[in-house]
Amino acid sequence: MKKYLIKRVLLAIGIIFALSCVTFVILNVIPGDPVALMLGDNADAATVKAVRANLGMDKPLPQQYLSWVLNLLTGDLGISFFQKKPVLTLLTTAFQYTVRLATISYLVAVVLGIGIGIFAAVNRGKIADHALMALAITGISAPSFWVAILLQIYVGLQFKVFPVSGLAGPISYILPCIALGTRYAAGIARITRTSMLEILNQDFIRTAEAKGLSPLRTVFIHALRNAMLPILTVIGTNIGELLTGSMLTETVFNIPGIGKLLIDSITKRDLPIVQGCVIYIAVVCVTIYLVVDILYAVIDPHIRLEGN
Amino acid sequence: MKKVLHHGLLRVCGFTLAVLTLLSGCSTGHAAVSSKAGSAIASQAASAAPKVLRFGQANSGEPLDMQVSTGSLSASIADEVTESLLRFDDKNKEQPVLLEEFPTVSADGTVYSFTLKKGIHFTDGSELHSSDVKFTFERMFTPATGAKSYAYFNMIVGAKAMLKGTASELSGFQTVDDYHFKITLEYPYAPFVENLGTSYADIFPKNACKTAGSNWGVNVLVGTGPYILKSNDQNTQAVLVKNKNYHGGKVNLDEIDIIFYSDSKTKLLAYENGDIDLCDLPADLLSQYSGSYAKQITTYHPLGTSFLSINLKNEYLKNEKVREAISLAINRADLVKYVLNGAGIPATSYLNNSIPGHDSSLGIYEYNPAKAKTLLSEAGYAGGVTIDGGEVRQSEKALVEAIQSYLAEVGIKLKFKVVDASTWSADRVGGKLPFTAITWNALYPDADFQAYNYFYSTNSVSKSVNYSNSKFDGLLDQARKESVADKRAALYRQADYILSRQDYACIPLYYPQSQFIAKPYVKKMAVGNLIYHFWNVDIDPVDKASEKP
Amino acid sequence: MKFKRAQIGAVTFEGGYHNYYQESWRLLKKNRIAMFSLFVILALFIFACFALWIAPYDPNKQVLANRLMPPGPKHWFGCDEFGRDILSRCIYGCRVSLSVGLFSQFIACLIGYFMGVAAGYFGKKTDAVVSFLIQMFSSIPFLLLAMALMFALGSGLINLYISLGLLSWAGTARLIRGNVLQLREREYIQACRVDGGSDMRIILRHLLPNCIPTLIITVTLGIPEAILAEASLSFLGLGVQSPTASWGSMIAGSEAFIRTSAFYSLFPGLCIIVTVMAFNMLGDGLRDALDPKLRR
Repeated sequence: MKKYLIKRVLLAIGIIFALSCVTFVILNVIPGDPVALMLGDNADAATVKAVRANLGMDKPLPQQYLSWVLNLLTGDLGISFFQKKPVLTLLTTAFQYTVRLATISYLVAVVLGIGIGIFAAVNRGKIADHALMALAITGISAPSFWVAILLQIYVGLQFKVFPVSGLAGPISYILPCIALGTRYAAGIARITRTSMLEILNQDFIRTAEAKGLSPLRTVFIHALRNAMLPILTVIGTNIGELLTGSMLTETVFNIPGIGKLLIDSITKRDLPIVQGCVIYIAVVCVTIYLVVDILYAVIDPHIRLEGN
Repeated sequence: MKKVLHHGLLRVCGFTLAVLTLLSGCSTGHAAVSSKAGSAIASQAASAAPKVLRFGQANSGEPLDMQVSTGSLSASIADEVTESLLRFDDKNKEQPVLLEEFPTVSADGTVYSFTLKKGIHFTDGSELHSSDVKFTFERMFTPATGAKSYAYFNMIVGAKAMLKGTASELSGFQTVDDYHFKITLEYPYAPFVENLGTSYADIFPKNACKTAGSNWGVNVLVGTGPYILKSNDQNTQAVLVKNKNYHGGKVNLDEIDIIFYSDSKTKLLAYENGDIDLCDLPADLLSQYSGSYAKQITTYHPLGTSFLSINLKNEYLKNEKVREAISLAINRADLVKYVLNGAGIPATSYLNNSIPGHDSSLGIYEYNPAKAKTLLSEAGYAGGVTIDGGEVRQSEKALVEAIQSYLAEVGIKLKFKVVDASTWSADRVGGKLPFTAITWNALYPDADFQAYNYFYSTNSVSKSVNYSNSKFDGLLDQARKESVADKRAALYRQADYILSRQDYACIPLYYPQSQFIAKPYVKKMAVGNLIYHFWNVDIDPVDKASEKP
Repeated sequence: MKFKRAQIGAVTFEGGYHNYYQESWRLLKKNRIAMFSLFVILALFIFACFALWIAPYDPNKQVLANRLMPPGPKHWFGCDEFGRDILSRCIYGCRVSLSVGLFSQFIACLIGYFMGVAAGYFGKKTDAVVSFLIQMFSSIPFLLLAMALMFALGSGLINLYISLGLLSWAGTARLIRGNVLQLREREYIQACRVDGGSDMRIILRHLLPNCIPTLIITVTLGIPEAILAEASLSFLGLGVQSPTASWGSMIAGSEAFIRTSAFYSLFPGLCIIVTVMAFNMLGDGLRDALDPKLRR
């Protein structure tokens, strides 16, 4: 176990550095120049050169990357090109918004999704099953940004109750959480149904039923526990996605979370922020994969961690 | 089956519309009743409540230090806090602010003498002295500052040496005493006093700015202006509060909250929802609001021109006939009417119609597809021509798509990519873009900015234009040294004609109209050019109280 | 957005390939939802292929006087802000969406298969490297990388195929790796190795057929994701080149007019939903039909 953990953590660090290296190269290769943008429409070549020197962008790329890594080791993610604020401060602020939004939407999604999934599985083939699954499949088929826009206009503005943007009070969470949460709920519902069906078909459940265990007990204790593995994988990867910020939903609802920060800074080529975000996202994802793998072992003892 | 679907949809649409009208009818009726009944109570309650203006705009994502930042979004916040020696008012007239009067200039046009008003204090308590002005300019020319708009002032003697790092003092700045100073230029430069009236010349307090170091403009900004920067998270909002000791008299508002919306559609939804009191209304959204919100919309005309910027080094565009054909193929009147929702004036030449030097006797550019075709075949492209590789920003996409279709009619196939602003800026500075569309705004009503900064032979390279006409350049050089206004205007009129009617070095399309939308209780709001200023704006507490049911 | 669905393992063809697929097809035919989806998809393909003849108008023809004309007898879906026929643009947009879905998933499938096989079959260092890459690609937000790639390559259809393809192979590779790990231990593969069959031969002749059901499902379920990704990119202005019609860019264009001309946003939105739904449901049906475990 210990050996496995150490191996995984080392792997994680490797992935993070590889990622930072790849993003650094990509960001420097793609067309576009933060300095030309900073100077506005009146930019001229001489000033561009002077400002690049001021930002340290005139040095060779390997040297820039090396100094970035050395700073990272001391916990310094650099200063934003545009905002001139420390990247770490910007990330922490954005993170708070994203976490709040993610937690609420996901709680809703998990409860709703698992509930609907079980209900549909138990009623396999009946009208309720078809109706719920049709709803779920519509939920994951609609482009999220489109749903967000429609919610803003046809719910937000109509009832004048929900703010159409920002995250000011508890009530302002409702629309973005619906936009984000239903989508995940739909995904979870579908996976729950499928994996429940697989388990309900298996011999030990039939035995349990034959032994006269109550259906509720059978479903919730025996079947759900065994159906949990694939559900857990989905939840795990989803949380990773949510915590890294949903770029389009955050943009449409004007929520200054990680996703919006990322989309703003990549369009401006604010390299230090993009680099910082990528590191942050990689850390979140890798940690979650690790946690999910460990949970696997807890739920299903047949899986040995070493086998992965 | 399609028909059925179609009818069903219509019915749904109709139903939604009916519900919509019902709802909106209800709410306005309600407001009207309560406004009459509650106005007496409201006026009592309102007089005690602080006056807060909530203004929505995009986040500039840049500091409020206008030496480092260039955008009007930063300026609209910074200009309330820090002031320049002079400034342009809502009617684009320049007025002395920190000065007793306009500076006097020597006979050869190179030495300017200034007199500061006495008793002006920065909000940190220190008094404004000549040393602060000197510090401000020296900071601008120090390479470590990373200033971006120094080019408006680098004709001051000694500026270039400082920029190179060979001097640490600005030799052209001569301090006479605490309230008097002189600035010497390398050569006579007529618009110098105008440049001093821009945000880029905002005056900073020496001590506070030095102490703040790299935090200047980020967390700290101290000036002489009517408002004090209370907070700015550069993320969701900036809060300004009243400067009670403002040198210019009583300040109307207690607080201004500038709330950031990166998406203009969301911003307008927030306005409708009552989350903000005031914001700009882009032309593409005008048709959505011009009906029900007509009374809340105010239009104004910034000092700019929208045009098709073309690269005269391009294989096809270097041919003057092709350029004229492009101009002839575009129906500018329709373009303004349909694509811009009427938010613009069809162009008659390059210079904006409010700028001295604009020739108002010229008519709108001719729309004549047949003549365009003739010119094309004269140029040797009877079979049509494909001009490839243009880049356009999202903001100009709709405009250029419409032009694309006009040009297709006469056999010119325009191919372009919609790229993000970073790519566009970098490619344009490189001088290689075959064509693009841009609105070029002057900072103040003077032709120098519009003409010289874009089309003067040395400047036009980094604009991807590569225009070089010695006669045009000569006229601009002459105008820069000419201090008599009428004579300058005449020179620019000539230059403008050569540029846009003779050489067709650019294809002017229209002079844009901008508009803002404000709740009825927002009074005396006006915008002169590009930057939103809140120097005069007020809120009527009675109207505001009656607004809320 | 990636919803990882339970996937089937490697298939063994006890009664021969032929029987297996016949049985699958029989099962699929019984699934009415899947058959309906298949029918919808075929119809969409016909729209895409014959857009030139089906579309009532030239999708790029601007008639400014028809600006934002509501649906009516002449223009069933109405006209957009340039007076272009929305129905025609939706039909042409079908081309973009379907081709992006198909080609990007083809690329992803190709990369994913060979990466997965390499990892599962050769094991050891190759496996370590590929697993590392798979993890790395799963740890970056999809849209961010897609944006970066689109910036790098520039907007355009072919670049969309490439960038979406390059970014969505990791899931396929992970599944194929699992399949191959199971298959590798099977007797006939071992026997083939002992007989001196070349690696390439084993990978193409023996492993590929057993992985095809997995590939069919990942491609079918990958297509709707690619279509949604294209819509998102086009919404951000990074999709196809102007004036090409794409559903995502139509939604982006309609956003400014949604208050007064809801129809403009509605039709491309519905097109996306219908297409994505059809592929999702067909994918589900295929999985049910191809998975031997569910055949009991």
